[in-house]
Amino acid sequence: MPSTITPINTERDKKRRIEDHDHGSGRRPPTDKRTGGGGDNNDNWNERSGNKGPRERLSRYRLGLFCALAGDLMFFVALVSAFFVSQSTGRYNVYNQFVNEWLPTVIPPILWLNTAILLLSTVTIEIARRHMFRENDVMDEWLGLGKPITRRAFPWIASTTLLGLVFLTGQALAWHQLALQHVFFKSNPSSHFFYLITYTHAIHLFLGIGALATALIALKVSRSLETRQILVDCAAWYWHTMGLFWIFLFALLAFFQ
Amino acid sequence: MSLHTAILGLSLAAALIAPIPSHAQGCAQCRDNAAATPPSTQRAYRRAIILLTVTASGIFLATITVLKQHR
Amino acid sequence: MTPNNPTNPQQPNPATKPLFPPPSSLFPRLTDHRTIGLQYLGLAFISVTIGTLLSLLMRIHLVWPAWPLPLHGPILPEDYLALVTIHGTIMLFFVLTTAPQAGFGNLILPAQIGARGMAFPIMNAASFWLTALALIILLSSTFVPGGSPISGWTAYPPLSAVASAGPGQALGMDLWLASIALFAVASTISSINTLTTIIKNRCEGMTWDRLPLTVWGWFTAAILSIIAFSVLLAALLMLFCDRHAGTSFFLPAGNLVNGVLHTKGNGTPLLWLHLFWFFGHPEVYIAILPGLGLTSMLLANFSHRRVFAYRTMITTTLLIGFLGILLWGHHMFVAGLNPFASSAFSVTTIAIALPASAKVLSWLATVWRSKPQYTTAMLFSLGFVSLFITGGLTGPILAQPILDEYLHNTLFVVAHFHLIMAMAGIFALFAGTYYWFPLITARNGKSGRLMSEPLGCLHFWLTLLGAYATFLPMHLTGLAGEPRHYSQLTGVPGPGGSLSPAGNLLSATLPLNRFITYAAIFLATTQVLFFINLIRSFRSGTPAPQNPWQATTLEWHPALHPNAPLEASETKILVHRPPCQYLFASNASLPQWAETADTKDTKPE
Repeated sequence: MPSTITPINTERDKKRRIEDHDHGSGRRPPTDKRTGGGGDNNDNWNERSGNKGPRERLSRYRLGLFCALAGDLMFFVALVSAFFVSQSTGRYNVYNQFVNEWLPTVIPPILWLNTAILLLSTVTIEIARRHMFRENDVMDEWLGLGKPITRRAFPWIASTTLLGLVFLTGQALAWHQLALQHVFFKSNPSSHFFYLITYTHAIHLFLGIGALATALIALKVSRSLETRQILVDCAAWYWHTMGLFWIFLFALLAFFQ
Repeated sequence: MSLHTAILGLSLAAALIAPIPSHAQGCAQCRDNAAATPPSTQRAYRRAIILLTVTASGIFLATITVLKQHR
Repeated sequence: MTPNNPTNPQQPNPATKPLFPPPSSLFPRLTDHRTIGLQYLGLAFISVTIGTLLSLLMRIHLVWPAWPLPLHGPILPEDYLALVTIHGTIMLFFVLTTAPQAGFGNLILPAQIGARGMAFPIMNAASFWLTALALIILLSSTFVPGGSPISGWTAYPPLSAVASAGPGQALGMDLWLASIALFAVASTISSINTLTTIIKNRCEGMTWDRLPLTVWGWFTAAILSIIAFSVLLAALLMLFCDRHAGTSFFLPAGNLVNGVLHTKGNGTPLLWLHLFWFFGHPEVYIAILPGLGLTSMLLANFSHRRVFAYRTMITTTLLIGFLGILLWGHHMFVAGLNPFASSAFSVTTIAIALPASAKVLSWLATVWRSKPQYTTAMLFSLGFVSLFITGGLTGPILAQPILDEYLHNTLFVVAHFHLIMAMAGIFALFAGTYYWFPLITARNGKSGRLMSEPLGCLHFWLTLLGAYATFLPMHLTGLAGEPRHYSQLTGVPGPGGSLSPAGNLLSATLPLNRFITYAAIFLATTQVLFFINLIRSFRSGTPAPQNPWQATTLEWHPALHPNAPLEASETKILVHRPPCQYLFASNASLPQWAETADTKDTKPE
């Protein structure tokens, strides 16, 4: 027996009837009390068909994100393999001596601090992500007792965003410090890679902060618990992956030059 | 042996006996370049190639194994 | 019927509803997967027309170098290289990557797995518009000062990294880089969408072994796209930095370009070759894998046989994809690869002949002694098999470093990849168009139309003739030493006004080259037949029955057919068996969705 009854004669065009708790997703039962388990498509949990069932949308968006991250992994692996090649590429000068212009770029010590901050932000986003799925709070939301999930997760995501911004500021400081030592993007093969890797990683983090900001807005605005869960969950996995990538890239820059 | 097979065999033999001479379009610079690569660079290339292939085939195989379990 | 039917499009199913419901009502149409598929096919059609015309200009210039191009004047060497570049880029990226994977992928794929849409409709639309933007940027590079880039679709540095290397290497090259970077992003997005759709949106009963082989082709090609295009993006970024940020990833020191010695630099062009071909070789399989799958399905369907060794065909599809990412080095045998790496890449390259010949074997075994129905789609599939064999046979030859050193820079290679990739790929596209035309033309409540069979048959035979007449002789001129990318074959002067040895060598190939040019013009002209057929059938083709080819796959399911009435969207789609099952006694097809006595009561797994 399905727990929600969706009428067959649904309206084709969207209408908003806020007073009737219908915010434009078609005619629905009074309030949008979805469990967030994704069971909204087929609430009959006992008779799951194929991939339909609880958390269907969530797992779809997650899978899409992981595919994108696999591509991203290849992007960074391409840069890293180019790093190894450039590191040992040289040429023969007019005296027939082998010259390798690679001068290791000394890592500004602030990067250690940045790494610690990024690791901390990974912890905060994971806490936020777990808050999104706490059963008691999900149940409360389903019963219509406010938005406890948003209340609990919001500060953690906000602090993650803040830590992310601090990390980016730290990166900018590191670039500034290097520039003071006259180490620029174009200075040396090693600095090419230092800047290329840190820049591209920073761009990825910018995108991540965009995702976190979207999640923050959605936490406040969206009524659908599942939408909020998807946004936070995907932002969190993206953020974790960027943290992981940074560990590897930082290790490469710090120890393998 | 039928006439058909005989004709086929003869034309095959003719093709083998009278091949077209092939004229190469090589790249002497490339050869010199390869010969002048020091062993350390060669090792770096090898490492980079292995890194790329292992990651890429890892992603490929992981996708397939994960999906196998998916249903 | 359950009241909360999960597949009910009027009340947009929350599962397919985007995260942020877009406000405008134009969106549903723009994000509809069929619309996007047709848009992609339209884009590919425009691109293939441009690319073909460019190739004709190249052929004409090779044998009549003095012929002035109207509105342009004589074709200079740099113009010829620009033609090579744009022809290659357009054909590889905007035709062979978009049409099979994104075009037919969007149009047919969801229905074939019993889904009513793609997983991420908005991303899908975004990827199309990015691709269209990329095409516009690429074409606009022709009109900027200096004209189009001239470094080929492979953009080898150092010449592609130095703006003064040629007329189009400044702004033209930048636009090329921007265009391809956009294309890479768009393809990655579209592949994520394809992959997620195949994994998550399959209908009930559609297990992995029941997926049609076309879907397996799209699936494998999507994995390859995700892996390969990111690497291309990284390489493009580095090349861009070399051009504008003063880096030298790919620039060697002591590089003499256009009379200017560039002393700075510690990079190596070989690095670009590795990164580019790491993308470039999977790209070839992205282009051909959907065609391989389609051929298997069409051959089986028109000869009313099961696909011979179905599971093995799935494995070989995956194996071709897997090996496809391990063998890029065979493009670099003459580029200064160290001999050890050459042998390793040679082994993996020859290894791919195994799954490829397994596929050929399955195709032959499927049609062997059956009484096939020789429709145009079937003819084009058989043509695909023929081209795949002739083009494929030269593969193991070129896979050997020793032989490749002789042949790599000759037209032999051009012949090889034009037969196996370009012609075979186009034949698969033709087969798909003739086969799925009823689905392309069907509208809501209106049945589709069939393309004219007699015209199609004529089109097939003339195209097959033209394809072989154009590309088989290229093997011979290649063996005779005709180099690739050379704008001029005649009048290469030698010492003392006589013909140089090189000019002597090349002048011997001229008669054959003239023949190739005539054949190429013939091949391009016969495509007018296809064009006429397309327009005529759109307007007044024979109305097609619901399932005109007695197909077994789900895109012909009455409820998934584009002409299905709205109520049909309430129908539950169930799959009972693998595709290409036929009743032996009555020779009737047994569609995947048809219920028989033995499937009626038992629940499908």
